[in-house]
Amino acid sequence: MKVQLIALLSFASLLFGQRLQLNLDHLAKKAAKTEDVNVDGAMMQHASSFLSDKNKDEKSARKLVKGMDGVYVRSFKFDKPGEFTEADIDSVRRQLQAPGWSRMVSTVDKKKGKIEEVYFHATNGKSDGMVVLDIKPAKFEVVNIVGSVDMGRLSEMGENKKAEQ
Amino acid sequence: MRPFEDELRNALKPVEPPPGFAERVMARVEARRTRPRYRWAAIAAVLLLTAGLGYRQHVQRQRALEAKEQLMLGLRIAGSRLREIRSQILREDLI
Repeated sequence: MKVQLIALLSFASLLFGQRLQLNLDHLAKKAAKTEDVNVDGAMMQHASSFLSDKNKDEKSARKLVKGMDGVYVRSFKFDKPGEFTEADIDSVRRQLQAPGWSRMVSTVDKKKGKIEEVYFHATNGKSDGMVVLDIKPAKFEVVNIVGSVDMGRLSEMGENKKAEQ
Repeated sequence: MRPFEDELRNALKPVEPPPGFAERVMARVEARRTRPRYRWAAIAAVLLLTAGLGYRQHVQRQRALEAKEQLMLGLRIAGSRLREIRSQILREDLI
């Protein structure tokens, strides 16, 4: 029983490690548009029973969520640039310096003030978490996926729909 | 003919009811009169329970549908960003 409890706590701490603490509520007040997605593992399993096989995206989502334990998005779009600070970006990046996380992609366009970064979390060599940081002068967006991610399938999501810009 | 007549006379002979018979009959009649109240109460309870369960199912379904919408939105945003980053990298490679 003790061993099971310890194993459960270790698993929970691993999952917790892959989930970022996105304390960005102060940006919501300044934002013209916000997107806030909080779907944990239980909600995901509950939701997946309503995913249709007739819809291409939903069919893909059904397969994607099998390895996932959560999807979290904080997206803020502002009317003008300069509504968030370097400290806001650092509050996210600092968490991504924890063991297990590594930055796989980083594109910076200083002229346009664009930063795009993709981080992966791995446990025992197996990828089990992902973060996408998308910063533009009037946009601050963090996507955090907990669990294994099928990148090919995920990048096809919403391809036929008007993508969230 | 005689034995038959005797049998008939015996059968039709008035019999005194046992003591308390009338009270017991009246008690049963009264019980029957009050039974419909319980029946309606039982029907109402079943209807309430059914309505309650139906409402609970409706709420759970609504929550699941909301969760599905959230999930699809999250996955579409993530997919869209990955495509953007991929095309950005491809553009940089071409330059």
